Amino acid sequence: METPQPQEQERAAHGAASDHGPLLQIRGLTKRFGAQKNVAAVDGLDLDVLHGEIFTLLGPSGCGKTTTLRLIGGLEQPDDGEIALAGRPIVSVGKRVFVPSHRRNMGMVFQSYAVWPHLTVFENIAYPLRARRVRGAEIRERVGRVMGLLGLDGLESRPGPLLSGGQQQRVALARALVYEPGILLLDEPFSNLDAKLREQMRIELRVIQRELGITVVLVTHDQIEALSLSDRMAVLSDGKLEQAGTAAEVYSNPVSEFVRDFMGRTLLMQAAVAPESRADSVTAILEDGATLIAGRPEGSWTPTPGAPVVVAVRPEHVEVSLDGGVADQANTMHAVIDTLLFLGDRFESRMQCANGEHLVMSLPLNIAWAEGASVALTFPERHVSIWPA
Amino acid sequence: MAGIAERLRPASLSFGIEAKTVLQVLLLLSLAAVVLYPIYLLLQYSFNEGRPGETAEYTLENWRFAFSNPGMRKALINTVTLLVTREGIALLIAIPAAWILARTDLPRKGLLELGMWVTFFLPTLPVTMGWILLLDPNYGVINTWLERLPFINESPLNIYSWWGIVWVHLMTSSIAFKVVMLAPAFRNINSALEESSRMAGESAIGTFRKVVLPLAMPSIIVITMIALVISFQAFEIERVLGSLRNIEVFSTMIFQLLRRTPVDFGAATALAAVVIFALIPLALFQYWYVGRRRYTTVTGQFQANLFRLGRWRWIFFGIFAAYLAASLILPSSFLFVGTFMKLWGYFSGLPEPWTVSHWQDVLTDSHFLGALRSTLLVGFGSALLGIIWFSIIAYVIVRTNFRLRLGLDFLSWLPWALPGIILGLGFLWMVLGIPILRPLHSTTFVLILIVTLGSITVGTQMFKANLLQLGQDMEEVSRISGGSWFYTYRRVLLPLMMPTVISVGLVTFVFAARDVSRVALLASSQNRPLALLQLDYLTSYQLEAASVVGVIIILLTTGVAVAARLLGLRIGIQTGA
Repeated sequence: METPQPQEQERAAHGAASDHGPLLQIRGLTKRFGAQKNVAAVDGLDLDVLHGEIFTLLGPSGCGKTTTLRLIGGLEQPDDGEIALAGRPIVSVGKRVFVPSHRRNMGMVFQSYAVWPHLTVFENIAYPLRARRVRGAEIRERVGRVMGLLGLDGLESRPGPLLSGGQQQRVALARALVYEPGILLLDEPFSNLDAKLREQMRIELRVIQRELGITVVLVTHDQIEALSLSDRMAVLSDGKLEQAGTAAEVYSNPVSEFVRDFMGRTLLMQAAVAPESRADSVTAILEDGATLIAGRPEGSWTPTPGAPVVVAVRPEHVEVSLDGGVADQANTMHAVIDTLLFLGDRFESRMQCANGEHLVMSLPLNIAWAEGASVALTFPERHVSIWPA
Repeated sequence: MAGIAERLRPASLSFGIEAKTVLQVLLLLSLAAVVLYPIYLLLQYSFNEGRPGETAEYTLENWRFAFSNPGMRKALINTVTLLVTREGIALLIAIPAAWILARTDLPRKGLLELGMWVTFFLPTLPVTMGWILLLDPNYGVINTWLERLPFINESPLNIYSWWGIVWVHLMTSSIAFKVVMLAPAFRNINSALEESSRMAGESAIGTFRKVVLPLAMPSIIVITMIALVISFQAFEIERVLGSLRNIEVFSTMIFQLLRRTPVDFGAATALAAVVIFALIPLALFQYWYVGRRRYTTVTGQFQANLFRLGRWRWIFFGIFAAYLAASLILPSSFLFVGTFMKLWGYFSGLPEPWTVSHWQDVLTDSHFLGALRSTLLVGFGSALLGIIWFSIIAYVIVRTNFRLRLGLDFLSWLPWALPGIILGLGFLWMVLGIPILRPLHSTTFVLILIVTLGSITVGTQMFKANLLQLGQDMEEVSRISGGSWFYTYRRVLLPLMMPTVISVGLVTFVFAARDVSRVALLASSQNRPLALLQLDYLTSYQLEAASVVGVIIILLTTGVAVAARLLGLRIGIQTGA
């Protein structure tokens, strides 16, 4: 993982130039649903979104990320808390302030795109400008510019329903960008596209965002999308903030079990703390008696000898070799390849460990793996983490 | 980027009392004023023994009198048996018919559906007259033909009977109404759901029963509810066909009380009030049933593949065509022929039976042009008012969390439960009783208002169904891209609902043009519409002249229906496939 330092500096400079403090500041945001208002979809959320960044709200479905986005956009009213845009409250339950959606000057792309079927592509994109009473010539000029930016030239008079999924997405994005909104809100924008188009649109979004310098708040349940696009991200669970930070921070240093298991793949093994553990490295005894040395215990937690723990390691950090290839180092376990699937650019495999546990991981193509082959798995000490069971 | 804060309008709306809430309360109050207040006046009057202007004496005398009326028990039984029979038959026919119309490759579907609409729109009274010409036991054309058959000695069919009433109901609106209302519900079911059932090994009929029917059930329930409610006030057919054999129903009992001298408004109101109370559990059931399940909405992945009927295509086409010929062409063409007869109904026996003098008489009648003008004014006025009013009511019920929306929903059902003459009476008292409203007495504005109430239930339900199927994101994206609520309503909601807007406008126009009972007490000699002119001719036994006006009303309503429908098909949403 590279250090995100240069970006941080650039952002800090940009932020200082345009404004003091974050662009969007969310404090104690709470939204309850249900007849008795007893289900908290968003529960006391605090977030800061900085100028010019892509900020991602990541979490499984039902974690409150879309509700948060709708609260930012003014499509829902919170039960508590406040949201300030560039230092001014746009929603505050305490101060009884609520700026309606159409006065917030935000742009939004919905998961369904919501391209109006009764309007043509041009009319769809021109809509926000007409709502703002922009003049005809200027409308044509600005719609033309944003259509060019998104590669929609020539589709002006196409009716909404006669567009492909990818085109609808571009129209929805063009419609959200044409009036140069202060913030662009994206609700699962790529989830209805096929894999190839999704990758292409991700890159395009990044390029457009850089070009326009616009601040983006993105909601997704797809961690690849979150990791690849975000400057910073927030992982939500049950309406609460689990962790916020740069993509690299959240991925490599998860602060909670939820974030650890949600972000990427993690191999987990039951173990107990061995008596020879030290403050800076913990030795764990697996159920079959093998030992693993872990670089660090997570958080402020101090392992006591004998305590049950969970050993966690990212599969991409495990070094795999066919048995007999190299001599056993420390932190090595043996396993048998149970299932091997050819994915084109790599193998997907399931290993059966000596202790009976199954580990699923990718294997490179350059070695002649085979189902039934014995392999040695080496866990580098600094990538092994220990969690309370 | 830095300018965002400046672009925010400084006047942030306060959180608690929003303009929206104020408008919603105003909407509720306006509806309550035109619906609840007349009913309140009626109920109050039903307990009052004193004449208007005298001191009020509150007793239960009216109620006791109404229900001790000797024919009451029989009338109630007739009401229920007639209702169950015709609604049961109509549902059994209409549900599969609507599915075939909506989801199969039936030939000329557009034309057949248009025919169903026109059948639904045909004014009842003229059509009943057409059926009398065909099925009268003495001179009915079909009876005369059947009698010529060797083994039939006396006229086999009698329109003036219990089954005659059921027949005319089935041939006018009972079936056609359900078909035109159910077809959109079937059309909006994703065909992938049907196809997966077929793939899972279910037959076409099994799929219909296990998948299609449950998905369409909310619409079926709502439409059956509407049909039941209007059945309580079904009046003209029972009155015309039942009176000879003393087949009384609830609504004709009310009418009899209103025809007594002196007019017994109190007892009539007491009877009408029963319908209001019967409606409350029905409306609550509907609200509970429809509210407890989530609607499947039309999304981008929507598929509408048609079921191939194969050789059944033309068989079903034949059945539809036969129904339309019987319900639409037969009675209206005989009514048309009737207008040229010297003596109405007698096709033979006179040396020279034909004449155009009835047309000349009606068209040169000094009241005719005024009546036509009034009908057009009331029709178009109420269509416009209905579209705006019903769509906003439906929007508040479906889309907002306005606390009193259940009340709004209930109020939209009430006007249909009331016999039109009773509602008209309530209106009359309201207009005369409140000094500032008195200048409105017998104005066209009051007529427009009351006939619009006649379509409020069906109009609001149609908009509600459409809104439930319209993804909310269509509006939200407009709000967030800078459109105010009204801008969104005008530029997104109404255009997206255009087929429904046209249908509601049509229904309102047609109901307005053929309305007799609601306007009877409110129209002045200056603004009597055509339907009342027809009634005037009928009650003075000028059957031929009444037929002429009936034909004109039919031409007017079906003409507008066909025109708007053809227009609507063209400006409706274009779908991809």
